[in-house]
Amino acid sequence: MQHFTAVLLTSVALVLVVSSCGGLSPTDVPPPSVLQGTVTFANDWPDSNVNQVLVVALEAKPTSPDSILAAVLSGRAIFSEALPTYTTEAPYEVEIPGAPRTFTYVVVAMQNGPNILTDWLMLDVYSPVNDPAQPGTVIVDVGQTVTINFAVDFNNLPPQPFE
Amino acid sequence: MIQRFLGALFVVVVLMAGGTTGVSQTVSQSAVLRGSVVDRQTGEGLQGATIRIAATQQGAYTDSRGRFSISRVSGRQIRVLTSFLGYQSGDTTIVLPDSRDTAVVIIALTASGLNTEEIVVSAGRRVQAVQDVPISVATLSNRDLLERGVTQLDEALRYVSGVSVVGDQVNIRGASGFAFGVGSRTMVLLDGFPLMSGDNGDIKFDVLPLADVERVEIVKGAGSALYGTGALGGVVSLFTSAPSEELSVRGRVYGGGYTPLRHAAWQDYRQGSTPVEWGADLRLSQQLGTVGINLSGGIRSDESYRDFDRQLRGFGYGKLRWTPSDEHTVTVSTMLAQSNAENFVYWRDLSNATLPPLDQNLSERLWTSKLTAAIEWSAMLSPSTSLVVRPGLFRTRFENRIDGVTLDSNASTSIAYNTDVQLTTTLADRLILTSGITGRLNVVESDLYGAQAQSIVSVFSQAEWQLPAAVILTVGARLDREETVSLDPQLEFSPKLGISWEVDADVHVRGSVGRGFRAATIAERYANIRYGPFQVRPNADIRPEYSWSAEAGVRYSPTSLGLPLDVDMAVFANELYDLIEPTFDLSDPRVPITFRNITRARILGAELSLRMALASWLGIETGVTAMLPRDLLLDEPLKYRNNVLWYSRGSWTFAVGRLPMELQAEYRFQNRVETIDDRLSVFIPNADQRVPSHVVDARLFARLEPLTGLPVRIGLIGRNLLDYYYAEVVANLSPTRSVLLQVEWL
Repeated sequence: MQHFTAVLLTSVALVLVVSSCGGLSPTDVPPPSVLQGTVTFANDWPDSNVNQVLVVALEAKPTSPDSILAAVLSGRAIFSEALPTYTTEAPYEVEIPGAPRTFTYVVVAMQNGPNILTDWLMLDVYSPVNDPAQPGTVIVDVGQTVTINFAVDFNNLPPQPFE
Repeated sequence: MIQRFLGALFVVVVLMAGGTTGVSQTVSQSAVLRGSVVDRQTGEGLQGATIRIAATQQGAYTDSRGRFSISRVSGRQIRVLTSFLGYQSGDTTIVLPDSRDTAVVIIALTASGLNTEEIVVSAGRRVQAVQDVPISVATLSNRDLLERGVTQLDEALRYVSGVSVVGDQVNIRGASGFAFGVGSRTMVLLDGFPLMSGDNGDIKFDVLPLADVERVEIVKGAGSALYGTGALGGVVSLFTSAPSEELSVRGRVYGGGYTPLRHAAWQDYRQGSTPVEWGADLRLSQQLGTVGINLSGGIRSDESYRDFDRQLRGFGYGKLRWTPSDEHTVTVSTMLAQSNAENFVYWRDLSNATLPPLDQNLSERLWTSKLTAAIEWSAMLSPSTSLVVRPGLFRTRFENRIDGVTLDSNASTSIAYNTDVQLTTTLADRLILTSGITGRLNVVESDLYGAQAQSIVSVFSQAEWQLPAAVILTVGARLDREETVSLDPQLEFSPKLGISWEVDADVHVRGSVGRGFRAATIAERYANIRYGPFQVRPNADIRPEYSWSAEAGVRYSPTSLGLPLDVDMAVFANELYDLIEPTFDLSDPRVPITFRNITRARILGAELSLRMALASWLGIETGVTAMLPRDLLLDEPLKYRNNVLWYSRGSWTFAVGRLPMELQAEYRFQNRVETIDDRLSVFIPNADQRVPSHVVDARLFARLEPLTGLPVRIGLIGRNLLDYYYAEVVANLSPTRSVLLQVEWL
């Protein structure tokens, strides 16, 4: 009986000691890393074929239209919710998983046709020197909020990456 | 009960304390050997003990009162081997007289806390001592299942060395990963009848009649040479109890709940209430003349440790066994199970791990039903030849319902028709030949998979030679022909070679190499389905996946130490080809998931199992499996695999006053899965969050019979006592701590 009591007490103590630690925890979730900002739209929207407009952050500059979606599906690109269309201004916010992350090509992109693979048009490209031909690199650290504002001019679209 | 046996017929043979002495008496040359196996100290019958007549295919298991019967016992002398978990084994020789009649044997075994000479069937489709088989086999007894308070078999399989369970996938030595619940690489059989669904090819744990399951065998490594498709990683084989000689009634009720979660963020949804879990089982069994019947059933309710995860299910099992003569037995069995469950697929995110995604329709329910019907005719054609014919069917249906209305777009009905004919014959006392023909037809009517059919016809044969110097050589092969509506027939040839060697009474060495394969399931080929956030598209061109597995092992069971000890060591290698895995295929991004033959992998590993009784009242058991799973195409660790599986178990029997009690504790560890598919994180928040698992279960049992005179045992069962939080399945918090009170009528 003494043995039993000793083992039982030891077991209970062990459980109590260890039960307060270990394993997954809701606080394991790293603080969100966010890319946010505002997109302004100048001049007239196209009359048709405005399927959706997104902010897309890609780790590498796309070489073809279908590589955009491929990058998204393979986790090498992040995209925002669809922005409101036919408006002059739209805020956006996109959470960046797996921070720190480095994106070398951050754009406002519009799907301008029914084919989600090929029908993509770049509306504005982030460039710290305000030259769409020289895309800038964006680094988002853990818990950091990075603000990038875009200015889309439908009469002056940037050079398309796959032209 | 013992006195009735003594007075009833002819003979009493007492096998004492695992010794080798026996007392020969008046038994016939072609007799029926009946008797019972009892605890030497208490005289209590031992259920589930194995009795085997050496050098024959004949054997039996004791019923709930410790009784057994073996017909057509022949020969002048027979050697009877007896074993039971926790007792020293018995070995005696009986000299048979000339007259034909029934012999009675009473076998008294001495408790040792350990058993080292288990009998297995699955490794060679016939009765064998576990030391004689060339491949690793683990066993679980009915007592193991009941004492753990398990509600489904998968809970018990987690405590088998080298086995892990991910969702409904049984993963033996790393063969399986995460496959959206389809295409099991482990074959599951109930009394030799395959229980793989016809559409998903998955395991339906909730249909298995645990109350009637007498024994579970887990064969590790490729088993396709005997069992065909699905046995790529191994075989889990369940055997139900024989009907009891007298009316046997057993029951169990249990109830309890999940303790509060430590993290308020996960706990809040409960709003102060405690999710409860309860269930009940009832089993009846009786032999009436030539007819025996087993009936069992139960109900389970689980409110779960997380939101939108409740389930209610019921199940029943019936077996009718007719023995018109000593040579023939006809068994008819059926099972039925139904469940109504909320459908928690993955968490909202780690901060809300007990909640489903926000876009989940909370009115949705998953309804499932399963039905089996099987007939088995078993005949002893001669003392050396037996025949088994086993036709049956397994019907499954699942459907999603919203507010009670079936969603036509997410329902599937399948029927798997199985037929199995097996002939086993002993030639010249040293050669045993096991051969058979099997056929399987899967017919599916489904909104998800279309109207499909798949047939697999097979022939197999295996020879075992008893060579000089206590060597047994096993050679076997199987040919399977698979055909579907849309594909040309495909042939699979699965050979095996094994050898076991009894070096001396203490040491047994084994080695084997064999091929396994798995034909793609209908779901993998034709799925057009949304599973959580994933849209899956068909790929009819999938080829069967296959493997070569090799193993070398040694078992050391010393008889001279004075301390019961059993050590088993094995090294193994699995070469996996054309593994069928769900993958992201970007050729059509709108439907990005498809099943393809994408992986060539290698798994190298070693396994150590140790069991010992430090005293008659204290036993320990531990097993560790270390593996190096490698994706050879990507040159990186194979996804969703552990490197280390470790479990330990201790049991301590003692008495409090007049109450016999037992305390059991178990611990299992799995290291953190090294790699998963990172692209899952695109669809599921925090899908990459994973940790090692440390799970402790403990149970305290007390038999009330000395106080009440009733065969009642109560148990307090604690699961995941450390309340350790981990995720075995991607984005799914595993069960948290729960405490159950269980009352059994034995």
